Amino acid sequence: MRSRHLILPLAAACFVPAAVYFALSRPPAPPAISSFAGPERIVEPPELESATDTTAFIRWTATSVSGTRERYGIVHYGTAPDQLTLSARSPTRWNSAFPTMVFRVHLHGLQPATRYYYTVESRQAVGEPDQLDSPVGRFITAPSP
Amino acid sequence: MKCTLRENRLIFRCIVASALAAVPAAGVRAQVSVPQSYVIPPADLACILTGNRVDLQCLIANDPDFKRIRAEEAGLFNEALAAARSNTLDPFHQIETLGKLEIFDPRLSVNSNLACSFCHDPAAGYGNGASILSVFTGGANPGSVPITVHGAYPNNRMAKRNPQSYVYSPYFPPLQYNPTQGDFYGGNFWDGRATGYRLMNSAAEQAQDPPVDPEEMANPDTACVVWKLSTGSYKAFFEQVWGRGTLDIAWPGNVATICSTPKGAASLGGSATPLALSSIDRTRANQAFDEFGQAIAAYEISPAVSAFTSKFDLFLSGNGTLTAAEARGYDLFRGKAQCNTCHLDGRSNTGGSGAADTGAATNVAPMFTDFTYNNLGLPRNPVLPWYSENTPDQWGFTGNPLGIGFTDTGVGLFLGGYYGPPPNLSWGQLEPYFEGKFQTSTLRDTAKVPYPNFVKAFMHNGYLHSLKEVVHFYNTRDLYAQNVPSGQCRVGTIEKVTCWPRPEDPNNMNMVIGHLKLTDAEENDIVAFLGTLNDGFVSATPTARPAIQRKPTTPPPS
Ligand code: HEC
Ligand code: HEC
Repeated sequence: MRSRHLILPLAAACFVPAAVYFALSRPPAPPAISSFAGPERIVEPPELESATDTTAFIRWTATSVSGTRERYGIVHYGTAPDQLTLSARSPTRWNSAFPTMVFRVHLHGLQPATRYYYTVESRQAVGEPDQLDSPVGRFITAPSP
Repeated sequence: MKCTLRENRLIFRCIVASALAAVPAAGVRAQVSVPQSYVIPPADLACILTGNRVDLQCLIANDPDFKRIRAEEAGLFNEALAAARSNTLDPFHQIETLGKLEIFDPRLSVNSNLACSFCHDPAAGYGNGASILSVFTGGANPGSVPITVHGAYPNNRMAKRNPQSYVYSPYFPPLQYNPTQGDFYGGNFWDGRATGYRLMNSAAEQAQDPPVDPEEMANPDTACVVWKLSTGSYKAFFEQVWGRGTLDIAWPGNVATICSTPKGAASLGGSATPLALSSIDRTRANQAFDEFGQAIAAYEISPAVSAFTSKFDLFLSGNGTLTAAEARGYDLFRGKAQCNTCHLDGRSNTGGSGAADTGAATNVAPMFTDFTYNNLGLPRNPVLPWYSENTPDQWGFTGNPLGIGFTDTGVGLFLGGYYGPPPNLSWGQLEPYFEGKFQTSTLRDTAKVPYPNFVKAFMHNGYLHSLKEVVHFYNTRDLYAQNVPSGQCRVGTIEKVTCWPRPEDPNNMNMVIGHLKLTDAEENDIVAFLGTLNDGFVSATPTARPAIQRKPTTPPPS
């Protein structure tokens, strides 16, 4: 399985013209108006939903009253609490009749039997990150089967 | 790693080739999961090869579903031809009927052996109509061109995906990027590549693709389709609809030879326009080919295909009721299971405690899709013959040079340049956000089957074989996730029951779904509800209306 941070350098190594590489790696321009990215509040703190030897699902619930239909949950993680250098991003869609929104993020390519630390963040499909105050959580992956 | 392909394919090829290392090079002889109720038809037994492969030539000649489809196809073609010749059709029904003729006409393929309807069986909700293919090829259908290379598998060119139903497809707007939502809406095809930007009609542009897709109808030149129209049984009717002289084109002497050479043949030298036409005739042929597509869209939007006559339509109109199971399923659909987050049902949601649902429909003709694209995290379906199409056929054409190294990234293929640059070049930069995503299907007619024990293939790769499996997948994808490929679930677990293999493309996997905490009975209720979306519950003919009292008109002065 490949992941985003692997692909881009590889694509560049394939002599993709610099302009194309830049275009590919650059997120779409944020819209001028960002005021509707309202203050989000976590109402159920991030927790591990489940984990295998190489994958994990982290979930939390936030108030979600405004913004784009598609949202991204983002988990910053690493093997030391002060080194959350890796990140995983999963989209979800807002169902407008629900007062809260469950974010779930799929982490893959993890090491077996390893302790990971993480914080969470959420983003609109375009525009500003939501303002979240996330604690540092942790979990351990399962041993190799 | 080699990245020697043409520029417009460069980005994609390099990216996918990099995935090769991670994929076991071993064969694609996947296990097939045969649903319990399914019995291989006796006529097909001789067509099943070792390694769960199938002899497609044998199936084309013997399979009972293929025979049924061909018979129905001929019946519908003749029905349309009789209507066309009756000289009684109003303009509205003329263009619809022209589309019907085109859709059921096998002559429009390079070998005159394959109509659209072969892969889009009306009785199966206009999706794949052969059970044997649902089980053994992920629903992928054989195209017009047999492969005669000794020992080749598959022994027929095969499309790379499960045929998508085309019910309601003309209701999908032309593809556009909405900058406020940061999302694409509309388009046709699982990956949205039939954008509709030129004719402002996604379905009409979609119809222009299969005739010249080398894996499908395989005409070497779009003008060959026009040539066939100009020499066929409904030429006069085509001109009646589109204007006299529409098909007056001076064809070169070698037209018959070229038009019977399949697309991709080395002898054509890679030209997309091997027919030598004057520039005026080329323009005329292009125009007629646009009209060909528009007539098909007219048939697809007609009540014969997109009818709005389901039990659910009747329910929305306030004139019908659902059974208890269907009603429970509907409440789950727009509540706990959150299906209507993407498959819009025209009503508000009852899931949240603060939600106020007046029960009134806001839209009485809902499409059951929001026209967006999502990655459901479906596993790779290794039975797709596409993964084996990595050697040249007798024409020198190779459908899938990457073989098992190919990753179907859906909209990612389209935006990343797999089919050539996207028509709107600025969309290319959005590829990372749309990789792995496929079109949110309409759920109308998804439950439609030609007969009770029919096995239907669901989703773009046909990995799921029943609506129960579909709902169970949505419910438990993440609960039973295993980091294994299909066919290798750990001992003690059962694939599709207590094991879901890893996604073909883990990027952008949608998280509304995957862990819905539905019970087995709740899953069944949702399946019951999906059955209410089949058209044909209500009679399609306009019903009697109350008489309208008209003012007596004053008689004209005599
Ligand atoms: C060999 C089988 C085959 C034939 C023949 C074929 N199709 Fe398809 N069709 C498919 C497959 C496979 C897909 C999905 C392809 C994809 O998304 O890449 C598809 C997709 C479609 C869609 C997209 C539906 C949507 O909602 O976006 C439409 C419409 C359609 N076909 C119409 C036609 C018409 C019209 C013809 C004849 C001119 C035709 N097909 C011939 C296999 C076939
Ligand atoms: C996040 C958006 C989303 C949600 C939520 C969702 N779907 Fe889907 N649905 C899709 C997409 C996208 C596809 C096509 C995916 C593919 O083929 O890769 C699809 C396909 C399907 C199909 C197959 C149609 C076909 O012709 O093959 C069925 C049936 C279906 N969904 C039912 C449901 C039900 C029932 C639920 C609720 C349990 C649900 N969906 C929830 C987006 C969604």
